[in-house]
Amino acid sequence: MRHNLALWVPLGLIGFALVWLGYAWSLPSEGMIGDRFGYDPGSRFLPVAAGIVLAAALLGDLLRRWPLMPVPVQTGPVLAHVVTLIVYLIAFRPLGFVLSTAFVLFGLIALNQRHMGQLFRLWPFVCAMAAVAVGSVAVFTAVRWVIRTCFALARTHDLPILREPAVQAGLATVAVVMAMGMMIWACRRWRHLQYVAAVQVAIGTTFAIYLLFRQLFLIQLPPGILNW
Amino acid sequence: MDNLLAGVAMIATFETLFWIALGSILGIVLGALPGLTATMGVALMLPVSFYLPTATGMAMLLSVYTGAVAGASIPAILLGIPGNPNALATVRDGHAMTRAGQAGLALGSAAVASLVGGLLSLIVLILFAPYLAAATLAFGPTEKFAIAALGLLIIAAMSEGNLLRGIAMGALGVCLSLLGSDPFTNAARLPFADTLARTPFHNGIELIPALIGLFGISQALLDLDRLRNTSSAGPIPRIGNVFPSWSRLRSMWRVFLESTGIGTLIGAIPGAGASVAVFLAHERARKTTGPVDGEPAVGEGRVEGVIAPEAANNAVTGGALIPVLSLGIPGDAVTAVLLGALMIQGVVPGAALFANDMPLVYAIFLGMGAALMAMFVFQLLGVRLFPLLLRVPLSFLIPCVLILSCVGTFAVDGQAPIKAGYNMAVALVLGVVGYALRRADYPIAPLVLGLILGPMLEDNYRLAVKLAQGDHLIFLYSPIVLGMVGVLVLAALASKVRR
Repeated sequence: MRHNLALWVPLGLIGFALVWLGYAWSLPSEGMIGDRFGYDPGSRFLPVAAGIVLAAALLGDLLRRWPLMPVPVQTGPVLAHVVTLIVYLIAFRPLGFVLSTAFVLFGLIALNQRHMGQLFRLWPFVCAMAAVAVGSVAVFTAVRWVIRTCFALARTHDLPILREPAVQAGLATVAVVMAMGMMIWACRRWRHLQYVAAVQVAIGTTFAIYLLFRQLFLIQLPPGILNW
Repeated sequence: MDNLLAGVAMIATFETLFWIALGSILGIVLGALPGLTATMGVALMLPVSFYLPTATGMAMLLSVYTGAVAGASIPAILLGIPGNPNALATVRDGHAMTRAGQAGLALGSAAVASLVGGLLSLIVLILFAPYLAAATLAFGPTEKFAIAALGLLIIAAMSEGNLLRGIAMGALGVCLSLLGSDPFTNAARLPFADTLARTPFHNGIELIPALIGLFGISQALLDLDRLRNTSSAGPIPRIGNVFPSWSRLRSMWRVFLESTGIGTLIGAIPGAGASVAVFLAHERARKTTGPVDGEPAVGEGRVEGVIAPEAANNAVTGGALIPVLSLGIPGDAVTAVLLGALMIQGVVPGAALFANDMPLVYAIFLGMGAALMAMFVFQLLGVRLFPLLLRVPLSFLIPCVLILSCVGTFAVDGQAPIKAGYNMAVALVLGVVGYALRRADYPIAPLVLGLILGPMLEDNYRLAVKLAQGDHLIFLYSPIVLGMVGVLVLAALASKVRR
């Protein structure tokens, strides 16, 4: 799919500028509280002024460049990525961070590999998707087990250091590295190396982000269906 | 002295040093991967800095910045492809040295030059920023509006593309920054206000999602075009001797000083940017370096041709922080992101920062010094790993950047799920908009600056006019504003005459 962005972008911007101007003009102009004499230019002034500058500059640029030289852009891969990211945003909460991130990462890597001209085969792809699911659940379970064990040991053996997020993140990192190592060993005989690498990068990156944000900074990433 | 010690205490912690080291490694890696920019790296790490103490977060972002600027020399030297515009002038001599079997010497010289350039510009920053900040005490709303407007205009004029496009992008940024609510009355200022006022849209477009979208996501989408064009990496070059001899370094003192001076000055001028500085420094080195028997000339594989642009591009980092810390006006896209990081933490740059929070100012200076040291150490340690690093395929990198952008945006408001989802959507939409704009040759830096400076423009304009009892021409009566405009006009005329 090819689009001439040199034409569509200026036209889209001019359309936005006109809509903005119309909208800014329709705003009620409210002055600052206590401005009894009406000296404040009001809340509408700058939106209208910025809109006029925007429209005038865009129009001047368009007239200066007319007729526009076409700049065709191959938008297919970009659109595919954007659509995948929209799906990611939608699936992020219901499916959970771990599964949605791992699936989308793997999907995007496979998409790029296909775009680069590498052969796409359906069955290895489906098997790799299943490997992403199984691997993510397994690593997540291992990480959760490590965290729970840390809390249990801290309670039973009076080791408060095991409650520290940084210590837990460090131990969980060791668990992830070991799990990834086992996964690499398990996949060593699989012939489709492009998918093996994609599965490992997808799972590894997912858990690197998980450990940073969830374990170290304690951000509530959505658990989704993996709620143990 | 107490302030300095308090600043040292903020930086000399295990946590801060850990994040500086991590930021430095990440910066070098990002800078080394062709196409990935310092701005993108700093934008991606913004959400992480949000969860760190202010000094630690700023030190980490500065280490990503300095690391990415220095790291760009790696592909320029090894592959002949600049990692980003900072290394455009390093390619000629750096790659020629690699072809001559001196890749290690070129990489080592680049690391030394980056350290020296960065440290000297940091000294200039420490010396000048407080005085410039003190001068701003004489500024009222009139002058503050003029500074913001002129800064935006300069960057619009000097961005890639042309003046009209730059102005249009600046105005677009201002328009987007005004969405949300009126700063003085809190009245809703957004379409379908009755419905949207109860949604996160009421707060307008927040800075972190906007920066991540415009720099992280749009850059990753742009890099998709390079997927098919990326040729497989060639053979791994031999890395021999890394350090230039001490006598050779001493003989190049003039190149170091001149390049650092050029970089610092260009960095301090809003809009000029490192790509101008590196070419000026390289050209200056070419003119001042005499021929030596048995050595090629500058431009054909001589170490001075690597030292000059690398000292200049890292000197830009210190120079660029002068207007950020003293005036609150960023000089380019990456310092706009750094300013955003400060503002998100509630720090307002300018005279008040230097008067009330000197420990933080010292911590930022020390953090930058530590970041430069870390950059130097990791660049030297990694010399033998860089050829392998350049083999990481883009097909893996792009998805990782996209996902990190989305999750980083979510993390900023992770405890408020609806707002976090809204932020992710804003980042994605602005990422696509940024991609389309960049493909159509519209500059992004003025858009980001407009987004950051928009509220400052509105607040100060309305205050200035109100204080002048409704006189919109108040800006023409201020001698400071007229002086600033005069200097700008003179600079523009001088540039025309010289051309």
